[in-house]
Amino acid sequence: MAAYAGPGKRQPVLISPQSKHSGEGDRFFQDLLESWDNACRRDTGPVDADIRLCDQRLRLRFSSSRLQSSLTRALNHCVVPKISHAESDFVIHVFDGTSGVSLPQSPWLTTDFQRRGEVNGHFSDDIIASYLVGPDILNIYHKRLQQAVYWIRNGRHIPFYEQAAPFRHLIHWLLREKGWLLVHGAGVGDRNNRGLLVVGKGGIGKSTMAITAALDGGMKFCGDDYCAIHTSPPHRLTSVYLTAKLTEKTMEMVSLSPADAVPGDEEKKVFFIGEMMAKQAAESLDLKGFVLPGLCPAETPPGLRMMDSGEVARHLAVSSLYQMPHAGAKEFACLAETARSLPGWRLTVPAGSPSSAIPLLKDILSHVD
Amino acid sequence: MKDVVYEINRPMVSAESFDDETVIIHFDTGNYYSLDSFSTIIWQAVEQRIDMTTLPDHLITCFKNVSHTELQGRVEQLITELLTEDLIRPADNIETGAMELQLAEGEEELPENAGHLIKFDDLQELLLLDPIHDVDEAGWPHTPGPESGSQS
Repeated sequence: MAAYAGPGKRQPVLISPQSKHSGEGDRFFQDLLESWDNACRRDTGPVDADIRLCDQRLRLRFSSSRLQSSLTRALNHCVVPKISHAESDFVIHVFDGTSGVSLPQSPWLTTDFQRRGEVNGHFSDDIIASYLVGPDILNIYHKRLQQAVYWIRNGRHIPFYEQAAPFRHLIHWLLREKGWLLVHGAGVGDRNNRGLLVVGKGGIGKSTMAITAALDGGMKFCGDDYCAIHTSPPHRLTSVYLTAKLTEKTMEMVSLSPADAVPGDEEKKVFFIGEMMAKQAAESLDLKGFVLPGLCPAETPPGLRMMDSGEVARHLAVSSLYQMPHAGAKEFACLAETARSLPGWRLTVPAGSPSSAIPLLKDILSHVD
Repeated sequence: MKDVVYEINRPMVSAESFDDETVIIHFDTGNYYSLDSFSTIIWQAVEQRIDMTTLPDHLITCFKNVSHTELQGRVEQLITELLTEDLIRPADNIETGAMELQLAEGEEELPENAGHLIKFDDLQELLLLDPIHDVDEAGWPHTPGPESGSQS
């Protein structure tokens, strides 16, 4: 990491100049906040949205109503009436490159940008960062201040996956300090608020199973791709994004029309399930176990077998951890302990018959404590 | 074996053990691995900084259907696989530890195919990073394309 030179003279915005922790990390963060402040002046901001997630009160402060509209729809089910600044547990400042305001000079070298989006060299223990190359999204998290900055290069063309699951890295960093982890999985539940996390790598059938269970089986839907789980007892499963990202093939399988998706020509369509199936949307469930979907030969009955905890951990932990920057041994240990504590099943259905999973899902939930 | 004491390649590598399996994650390559019960003993011996040349001496008292030579071969095979996959490395400090085996003496049968590392590479794509060819004027990575906008 190069030493941060800064853009020149600056006025403190939100960081106390008397802070004993102040240093070049704080200076850089302060410059980011000033950039956000300037973007607000040029745009229509700040436009605030207050959300409650896993008992945390987050204030999202957008530099424009356009960004607010694009990046909060997936979180609409978490929106709460306006809270005061002092009441918020965490604040995220959001702006983009089309505001006409430049980011401060990068303090990092190109070699500091790592896989998983991690950026090496954090100035101090207080600051962690990620950068998603491609959409060019910068996430900076200041632990001590409980504030963050999110910047995307082009807020007029936000990729489908970002609209479906915005602020993933920041939410991951925030939640893990509160006993929760953002995990890769879909959530389903029954009317008694008992829930299962559907795990496995992309394309394995998580979305198909969860959406079919909600649409055809009347079960609760708690997320399609990312959910939050409380990793110590009592285990909870909380929806973060009530969205689904579906391929054309999956849309046909679950009988959803592309007309109901966000317009766009990207490889997957985004559906705002929380708006389409409000009755099925679940904010939080008691996590009772894990399900790994799979296919069995046509014309054979659906199959169910228990998995041992190591197999559960492989399917739960690895894809979750690989997607979360700065996640490591500590998070792996938490997920492993959760996998040891709760049962897991491998549920296979014949191709083209996703609804045959529904009785088995309900059966599992009716037999767990 | 050239080196006799090894250590886990932390922090890139992290492992968790379960009833019959140890799951190992390599955060840099995107590969992950599974070890069976016997391999887990060897993994734990690495964690405990056991001199690998002495490990078969410990193991021979626990397994009733295998020779010292065969145990030595299986230990060497697994250590080679773990080194090849960058999961362990020769220890900087070769101070050895004391072996704490979880097995009862002479009561275990060693399965014929025990002692291998099972590798999974199906999630590597989650870690792939496009090479950073361009940075903008402020030094931030910039991938020109239809979705890219102007920063200033």
